[in-house]
Amino acid sequence: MSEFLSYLIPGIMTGFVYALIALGFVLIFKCSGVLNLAQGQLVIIGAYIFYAVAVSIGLPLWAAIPGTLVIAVIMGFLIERTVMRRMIGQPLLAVILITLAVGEILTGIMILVWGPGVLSLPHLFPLGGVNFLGVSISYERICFMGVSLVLFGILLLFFRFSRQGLAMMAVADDQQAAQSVGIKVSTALALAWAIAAVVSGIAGILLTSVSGVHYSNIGIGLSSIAVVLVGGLESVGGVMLAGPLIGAIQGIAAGYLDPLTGGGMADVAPYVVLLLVLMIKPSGFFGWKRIERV
Amino acid sequence: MSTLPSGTYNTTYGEDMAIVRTRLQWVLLIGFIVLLLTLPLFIAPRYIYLAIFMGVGVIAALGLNILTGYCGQISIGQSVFMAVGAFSAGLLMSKTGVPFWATIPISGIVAGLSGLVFGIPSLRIKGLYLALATLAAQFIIAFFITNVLKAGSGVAIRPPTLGGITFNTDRSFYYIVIVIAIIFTFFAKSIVRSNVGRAFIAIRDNDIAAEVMGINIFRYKLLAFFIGCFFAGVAGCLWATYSGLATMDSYSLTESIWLLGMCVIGGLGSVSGTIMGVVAFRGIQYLVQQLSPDLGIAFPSLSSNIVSAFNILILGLVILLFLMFEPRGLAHRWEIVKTAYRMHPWSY
Repeated sequence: MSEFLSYLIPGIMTGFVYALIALGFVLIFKCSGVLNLAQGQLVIIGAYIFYAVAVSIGLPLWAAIPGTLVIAVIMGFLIERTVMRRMIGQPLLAVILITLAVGEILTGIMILVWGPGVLSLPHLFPLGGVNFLGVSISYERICFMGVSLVLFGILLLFFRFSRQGLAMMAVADDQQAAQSVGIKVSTALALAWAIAAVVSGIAGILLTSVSGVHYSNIGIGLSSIAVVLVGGLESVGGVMLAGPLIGAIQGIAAGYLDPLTGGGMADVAPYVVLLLVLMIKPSGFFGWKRIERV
Repeated sequence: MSTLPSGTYNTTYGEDMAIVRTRLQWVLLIGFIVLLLTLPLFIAPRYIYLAIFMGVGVIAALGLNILTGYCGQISIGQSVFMAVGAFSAGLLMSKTGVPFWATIPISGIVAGLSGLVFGIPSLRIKGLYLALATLAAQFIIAFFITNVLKAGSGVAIRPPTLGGITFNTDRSFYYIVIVIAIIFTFFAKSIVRSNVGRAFIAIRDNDIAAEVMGINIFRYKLLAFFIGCFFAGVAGCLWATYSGLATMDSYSLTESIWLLGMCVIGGLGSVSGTIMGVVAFRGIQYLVQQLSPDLGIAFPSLSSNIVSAFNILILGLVILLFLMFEPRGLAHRWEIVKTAYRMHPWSY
């Protein structure tokens, strides 16, 4: 039992970071109907920018984190303004492929600027851990969960009470109706990309503060697509439940099956879940079912 | 389906069904095939490598274009089906000693069957969701090859022989690739003109309407998956045999994206466009590989991985610009040029 828990609990806590990455997918999908497959690169480039600001330039942490987020916002705006805005009304394949192409370009920039080595970030969280139900949990994982929950709360309040947040919810519901009551749809879309870049940047900093920054980690961000699918592509709340679920499945699968397969289970488990969800319930557990008419 | 220019009519059934319509087209086609077959005699060996690279790309991209361009089922996992072909050929040849010539169809069929498995979700889902299923295929199959078959680090393959000739040089292997590429191009062209191809196009344009018209869409979608992955498997088998080693590195997600990019650059739903797209894309890829070491010397402050970095960056940019400014691809450009030539003194 304690073995099971020792796989389960860290998995759940890492899952909250997946939920954060998945939130980036959902925000952009809700507002513009685009599934941003460059999300994995946005996550890691956030971590690289943090490395540049905190280590290369040497700013203290309290200045480096906001600095990183400002750069991430600019990057999100830029991608939306230069590329994605032209893709409105284009066929699905073009939209999917263009996000993949943006991802490849970002990967190229990462390799070009920061090279092939693994870069280590300064320690954000205290070392050590606590004992919970016989499982030792590092402070890092607790902080993962805490930061994700706080961010999630902030975004929830933003969408519920702020003027711009409500405007974005309206755009997500119906672009034309939102436009007719005087909401600027273009601002809402740009803001969706900016917020997505920020949350993925934070997720990137969290994830890579443990493992070090390397461009091959983009797979982590991409596999969060399973979280989005389980939660439902349109559901912000569903993501927060599906993230820990996927994290738990990943942790358990890696714990029990890695000795048999020689590793790699953690990378592939989300995709197996993704495929199963697609076969059983494609709209996810909290998504919208669409009725199609000819 | 291209339409004929105004004033040109088919007056017999034979004319209507002809793949090659005019005498000029016959001359150009035969000239092109003769050029392909004599190419190794007068170009430098490194360009033969490029030609093989392009030939294998043509086979894989044609399969993807039938699946995605004609049948409308977006696949982000084409390169992993090349890997299935490559590894089934590699394992068959090295473990059981099956001759190379038999592994070509076998690896195609194995890849096609694995494509069917990931095509089954297309019964319920389509569009974005199906694209995600193929994305999952990319990672699940790669995991299966690396961790379950324990073959990810590579399977060595000996060069094929036929009646005393060993195909171990670029020049001799070029002929294998080019002959198979020509056969598959003809095959692809024939499929898309047949009733199967018309069913694919109907499904792409509106699957519900196609079903109402009596097309069994599940069967045809699966058939499209099988054909697309069959092409990929053969391409993978050829590439692995040519390089003498099947490794998982050659069949990453990035490679799948490039294959999709080739189809878009060439023109979705066009066989001749696919060939143009592959030649253009592989040409740019080769050019970048040749030029980027010089750039590395010019800017020593940049990273040591400059070749792979520039490769990804520039190829990504090429796809991006095509999608933004010419989403209908080179095939469409070529039509514009042809029309302009025909109309010459006037613009319309």
